Amino acid sequence: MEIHPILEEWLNHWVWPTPFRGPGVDFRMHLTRERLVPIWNRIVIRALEGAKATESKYNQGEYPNAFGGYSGEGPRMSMNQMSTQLLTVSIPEQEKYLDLLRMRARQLWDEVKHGSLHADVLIRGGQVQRETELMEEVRANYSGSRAYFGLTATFPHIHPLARAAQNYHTEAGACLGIRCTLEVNKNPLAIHENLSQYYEELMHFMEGKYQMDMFCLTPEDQKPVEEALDFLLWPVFVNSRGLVPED
Amino acid sequence: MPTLRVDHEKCTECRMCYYACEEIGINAVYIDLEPRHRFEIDAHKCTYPACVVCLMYCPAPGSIVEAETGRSLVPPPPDLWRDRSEKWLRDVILAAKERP
Amino acid sequence: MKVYIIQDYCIACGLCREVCPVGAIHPKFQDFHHWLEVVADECTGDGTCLEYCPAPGALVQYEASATAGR
Repeated sequence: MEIHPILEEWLNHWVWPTPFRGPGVDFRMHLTRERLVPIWNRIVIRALEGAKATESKYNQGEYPNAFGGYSGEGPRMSMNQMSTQLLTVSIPEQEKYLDLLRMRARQLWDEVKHGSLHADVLIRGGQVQRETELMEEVRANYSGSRAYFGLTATFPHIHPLARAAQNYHTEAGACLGIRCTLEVNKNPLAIHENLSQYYEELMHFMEGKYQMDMFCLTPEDQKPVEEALDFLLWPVFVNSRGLVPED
Repeated sequence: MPTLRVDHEKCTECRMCYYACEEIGINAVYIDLEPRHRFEIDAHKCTYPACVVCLMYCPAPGSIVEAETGRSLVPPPPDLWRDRSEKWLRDVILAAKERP
Repeated sequence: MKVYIIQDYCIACGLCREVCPVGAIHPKFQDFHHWLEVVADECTGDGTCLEYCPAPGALVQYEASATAGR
């Protein structure tokens, strides 16, 4: 498998750099090489293709990603997902490892901004005058990613380390997707919409990297991450672009 | 010895550096008392370049730099992580985990 | 009269954006921080934002001249 240059650079910048060796690092490196790099490579290739189509739409004054992003992210969905992931971990457990409460609260703050960025694309692009108009707009309240919406409320993390799998893999995929969008789609509103999100996704990836390196030192600690990853990589988990992780 | 500085134009205040430095028991990253409560690195406590932990988990390019030269350390340059001897860091982390 | 935001004092709470009657306040263009800006062409100098801003010194009124290049 040939690794796309964008992924190669991303791996060298963010994945491989490690400040120490240990069982957690070995665990992370093994699952990265064996299970995740092939999937990330496919994500890059497909995202680059998708970004070309999106750019031409944005240049024509249509902003499908802004509508989709507004419904798929932002306060409502994030409140949903972050609440689910916090309420299912007992309060004393939340402080362990990486402070779950603080990081999920931080994510809410970020996602609220991203919701307003999506709305801002539509406002600056002349589709609506005020964000409140989006309440009446079907495209801003619906998502074709049925699994994503369902998973938003039904993907609890009973063990605080389980989130590391989502941080490390799912958010890496999102980060790479946005990186590819920024590489290809030079429409100013697309850049406005995506730049902040790239940094947010990279932060979540770093949460996962840190949790695995620091805390997944024993098979017992690694198990919640393995199990969450098994779920995330399950072949029937198909995202809105029909990307099926092949096993 | 070179010291580290946070570039607030680039920092996204994700607090990963704060957590990492606290976890390994060095506690060189602190939150400033000014109204925006930004993250800073105490050069007296920071053991860079012996320790590079914060640099490996920082997601904001250019946000941690060498104070003397302005050299960006995020993403970490290869000379900071390839072929390094990390024995003492591992011991520090294991000792930190055994704290009550 | 128009209003602009001094980023050093702004805490990016977003209240000004919520209360502005004409929607002249937007996320700062192509910025990855959680910062806001007043788009000068849209600002009518209404001043509601000033009533609700919790960060002293963050919002400043100024006399807009025809030659201002904002």
